[in-house]
Amino acid sequence: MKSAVVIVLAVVGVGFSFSGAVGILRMPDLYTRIQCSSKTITMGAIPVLVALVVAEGPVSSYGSRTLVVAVLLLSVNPLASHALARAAYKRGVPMWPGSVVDQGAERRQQSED
Amino acid sequence: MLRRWLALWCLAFAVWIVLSWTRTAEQLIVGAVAAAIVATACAPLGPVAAPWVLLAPRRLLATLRATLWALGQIVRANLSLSRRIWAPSRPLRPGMVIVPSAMETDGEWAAVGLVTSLIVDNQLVDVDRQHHEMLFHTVWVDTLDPDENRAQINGPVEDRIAAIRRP
Repeated sequence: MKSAVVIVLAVVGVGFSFSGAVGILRMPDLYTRIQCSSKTITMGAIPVLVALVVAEGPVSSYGSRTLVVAVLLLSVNPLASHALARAAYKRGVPMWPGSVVDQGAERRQQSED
Repeated sequence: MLRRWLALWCLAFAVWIVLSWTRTAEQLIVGAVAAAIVATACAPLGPVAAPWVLLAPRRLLATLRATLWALGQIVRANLSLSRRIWAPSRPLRPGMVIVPSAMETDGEWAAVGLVTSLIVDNQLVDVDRQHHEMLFHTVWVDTLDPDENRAQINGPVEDRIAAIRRP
């Protein structure tokens, strides 16, 4: 039973990671690709870490280090994606032409007028 | 200052215990000293979230509720984004939207930024603390109205963070 849970969690994690990687290739611009890269952490790495905890037990050196890794991933990943998106936006990396709105640019235009 | 130092010491010592995972007296003493050094070095940098505030039952309950809600939203948003990735026929309506925010402290801004970025529908791009606004990139823009976008993006997160801060 435990092995089955571990396998399911690992497959879910690897599946979402693969899906995120495909998303990075398929999405039309940098900003949507950044969002796909977050996927590989939130639903890609975390289920794999949970699988490790289930396999080795929560009160073990594996469990404790998994907790540290999960906390780091869940805090550093949003930070990194925010830094990337902000830097790209400030540098004027273009959005996909099919994007429906850029209220940041509209606001800048209003303040310049 | 002492409260800040103590909070940092508790957090650093907890990290030491989790990382070392060896319950010998030597390890604990070295960990306590290392945590004291870290707390002394970091205490002057700014306010610290004290871990013992979570011991208040209402705050703990609000934290658990917010965590469960965020987990649910993360799964929902990931499934939704996966459907868009694997089904090219599903259209995209991405855009940059400005939403108002009710957050005040550094910790509240950081928490909203972290949680909204983990829910992969939206990515925080920039904040304007002076005007209490946040700029998000969203995969699907439903409306251009800032208040309606707030209700969809950061509003639910902010309500839950406010419930933790002021239970």
